[in-house]
Amino acid sequence: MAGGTQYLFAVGRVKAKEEEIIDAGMWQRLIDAEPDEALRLLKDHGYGESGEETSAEAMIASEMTKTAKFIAEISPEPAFTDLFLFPIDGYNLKLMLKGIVMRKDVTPHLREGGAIAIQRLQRAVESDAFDGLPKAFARAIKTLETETDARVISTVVDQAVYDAILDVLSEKKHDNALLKRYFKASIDHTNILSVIRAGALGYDEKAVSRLLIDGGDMDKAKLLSAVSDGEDHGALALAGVAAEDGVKKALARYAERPNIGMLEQALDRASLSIISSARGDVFGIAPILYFRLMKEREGKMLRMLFAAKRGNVPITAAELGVKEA
Amino acid sequence: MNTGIVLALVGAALSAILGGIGSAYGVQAAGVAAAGVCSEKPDLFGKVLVLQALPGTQGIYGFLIAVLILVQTGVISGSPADLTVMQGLSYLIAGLPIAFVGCGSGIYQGKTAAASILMTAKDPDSSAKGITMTALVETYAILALLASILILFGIR
Repeated sequence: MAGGTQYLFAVGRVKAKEEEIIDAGMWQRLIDAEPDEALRLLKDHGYGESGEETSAEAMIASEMTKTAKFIAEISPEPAFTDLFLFPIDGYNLKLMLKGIVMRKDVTPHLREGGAIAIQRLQRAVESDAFDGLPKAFARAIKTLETETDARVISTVVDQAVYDAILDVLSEKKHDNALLKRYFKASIDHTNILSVIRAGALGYDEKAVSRLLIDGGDMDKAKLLSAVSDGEDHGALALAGVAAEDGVKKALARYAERPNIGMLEQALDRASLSIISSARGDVFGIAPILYFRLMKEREGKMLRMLFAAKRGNVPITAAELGVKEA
Repeated sequence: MNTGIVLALVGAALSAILGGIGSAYGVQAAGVAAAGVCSEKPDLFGKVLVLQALPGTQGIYGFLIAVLILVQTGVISGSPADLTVMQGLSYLIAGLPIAFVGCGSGIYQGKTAAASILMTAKDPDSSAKGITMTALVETYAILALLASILILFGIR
């Protein structure tokens, strides 16, 4: 365990950086601006690593890299902050496995910055060399050797990501109630989205049960029973069994006005609120993770904003989720 | 040197030691937070320095009481008074309020100062609010100092 003073120093650095997070006023200016003007506004705000990025995507990717480097530099307990890198490994693993199925070279699309080096992951996929790989990832690769269904690949890899995370948190020296709560809620939120999407696509319970991830707090049987209720009623049924208020409200809102993008955002916010509730603890990991998650969310919102601008689709602050930012 | 004077010396030592420990912890905690902030925003040094210094007073109060005990008992002048056990015990008791309250309030003031430094990092204009919040913890150290002084000057 890192000492309180190590956290204080790191939290001091993070708090000084929190000013850089885009505020509501800046979001409105970005929404109102033309694409080029919005890029210039971001550059003036100090967004991006070099200041020489020419596209929104390059700028967002560079800012994410900068944030990841900053977190890695200040983290008093990298074991905790590295947990948030496993989803990048999961993304890479999914791409590699789907690339094999589709016989396509996915190397240019792989993302750096995960907890596992890309080359190590490639070795594991291509030649079953599992040394240094989390057990959950090795298990998933073995399981998926002959799998061709993209949805099953995604689910098994997502399961591996969460298993790897929960394996770390189950070690006595890395026991952290806040992180366990956060990741279990994230599993529940992923399952809720799977059930809602499956409901919209008309899947039956058996098909959906293959897409659900183990390890969350929500009862799987209750999740599955919502499938047969259809998209809107299913959302209401899920709202009845969800434990968190934010999730209940998001599902009730979805039942009234189905918008999967807004539901995803609301669930993201519900996850973030778990970390946010502990960010007053300046001797703990929460303020550091809060900054990281806020930056990730900011990146997602910027991608949505620029996608809307490219498609000439008007987008409001509420649709971006700015009000609750 | 009799038992009375030894007890008085214990009182002086406790007030200096515990007050000092409280302040050292408080200044350290605030200093670590200030260092973190200054590594990102060096221009805030002046504002955070004031906040870091605030938990340092408990150590001064403890030292003050220690000196007063040593002066009153004649130890500082090299000719210790011939104290009874009860008089010595009274000096020991006089040192206790600032010793314990100084230690506790120094630690808690340090935590408040650290939080205020972090608040200043996010919003530099809020440093005055942070100073006020941190200074309020000082009240109890001052009351303990007064209690120690009143007991000290009440000893016959």
